Amino acid sequence: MLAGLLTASHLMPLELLPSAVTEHAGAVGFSKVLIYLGDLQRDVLRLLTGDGFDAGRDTAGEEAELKIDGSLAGHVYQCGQILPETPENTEERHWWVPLLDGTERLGALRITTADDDARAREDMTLLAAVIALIVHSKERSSDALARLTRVRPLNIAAEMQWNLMPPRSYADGRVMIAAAMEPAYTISGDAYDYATAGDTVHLSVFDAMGHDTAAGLTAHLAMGACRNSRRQGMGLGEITERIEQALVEQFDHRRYTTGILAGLDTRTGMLTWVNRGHHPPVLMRRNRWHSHLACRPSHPMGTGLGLPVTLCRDQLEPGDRIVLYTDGIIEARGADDQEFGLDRFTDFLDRHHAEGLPVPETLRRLMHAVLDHHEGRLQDDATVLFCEWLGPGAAPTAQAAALAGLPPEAVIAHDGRSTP
Amino acid sequence: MSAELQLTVREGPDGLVIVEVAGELDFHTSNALDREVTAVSDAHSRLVLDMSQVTFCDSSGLSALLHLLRHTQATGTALTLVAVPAQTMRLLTITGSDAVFTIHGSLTEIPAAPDGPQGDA
Repeated sequence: MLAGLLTASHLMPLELLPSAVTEHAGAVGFSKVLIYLGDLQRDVLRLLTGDGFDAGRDTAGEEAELKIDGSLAGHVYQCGQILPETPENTEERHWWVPLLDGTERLGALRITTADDDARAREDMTLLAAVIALIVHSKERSSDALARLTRVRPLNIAAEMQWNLMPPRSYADGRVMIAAAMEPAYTISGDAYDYATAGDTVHLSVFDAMGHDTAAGLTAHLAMGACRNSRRQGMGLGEITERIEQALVEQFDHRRYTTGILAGLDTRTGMLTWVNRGHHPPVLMRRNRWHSHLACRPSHPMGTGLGLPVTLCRDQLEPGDRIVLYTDGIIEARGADDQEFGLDRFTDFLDRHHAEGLPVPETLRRLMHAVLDHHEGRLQDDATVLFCEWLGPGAAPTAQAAALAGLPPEAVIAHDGRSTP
Repeated sequence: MSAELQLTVREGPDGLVIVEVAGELDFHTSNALDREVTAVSDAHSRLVLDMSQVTFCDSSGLSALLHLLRHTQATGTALTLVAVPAQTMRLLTITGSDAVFTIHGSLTEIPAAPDGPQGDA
């Protein structure tokens, strides 16, 4: 089943994926497979049919759109479990299966089958993994996919930013990283980035001044300069100076971005970071204890104020969580607008962590809580970049899987394949 | 929506000018601050921004203040901020900008004599 699907995927447009999946999945006893993909704001799941400019037309009697809050499909998406639909007494049942590329939540599959054993569940997980890989591989060449996963138009800055930033979730045995950004459809100057190289995990958050397209350009340029410098092996301080240089050249001191740039040595848990005029990171340690890390800020990148750049170091313990954020998360303007506040923010993370909810889902709910708090209208971009240090070993662990919200079957399937 | 920014200019002795800034300093109003106060500063050797009536300042507002600082440094006008409200002060502190501005609690704390960095250079 999977080999045929993978082979076919080389020359397959996204529009042919649903029919190819149905064709190949029949071999393992799946009579029907529907692919639902999450929208940009993670509010709804939309059916990929392959028809029309958004590959979502002609749903043939199936639900075109399902709410993530309140539907079984949405529950599967949120919690990373495989669940059957009732009733049980029919010959065939619908099963809902999370669709994850790595740990990035793309949506959910609805698989129809008469089988109900461990083997069937493993096949479901494997099919989901392959479909996720194929969907991801088409992402950069398919406008249909972009259209399907947007419930309303993006502004230009959001169009730029979402295509630049890494997936909203990443995990391996060493770290769990998750990010969220709102308002997803109308970003201006926020951006986040992370990347791994050897034992080091890089983390950065930028908040460019203004709420216009130029703010998006500023953030874009900052991220480009950051990655370019990082990939040439420059240190954190030097990277921020190169970002500043690029911004001054382009904008002559009229545009700037604040930011935190950090590197985590996953062997030792040593966090090295630079503060360029930004809110310092929050460190959350077990037992609901949290604090702001302290590091003297240097000036925002692009202002050219000439303050010294300080490199700060903090020793993490396994299980420590570092949270980078922008002020849209906690702040509000004006006396009549109550701010969400840092305490509410960290309490929210603590509470959902204690409940064992996957981190990407906690962040999704956090952003919805922030949006609700401001009655759906944020006056500033709000971004969170979360990183939990798990320990030095990069090999997959059950802990990382649980934090990321991978179904248990996916971990078993992985272990099965990795055993010689 | 943003409240209108109000700028009130008061001439003082010895080349001093005080500009009272009232309202929100944000994306919509920061250009006005930059444009108008820059023009005022050019005719004076000492410029004081009375910030006490600023109800909100965001990154665009800070950018306008930094641009004004850059301009006054180039033209030899001494710029002082007074009575900076807590929200604006927090923004200055977080961004490290508190280290580059001359800031006083109130107008009375400003040194009377113009023994600043430059006179009429």
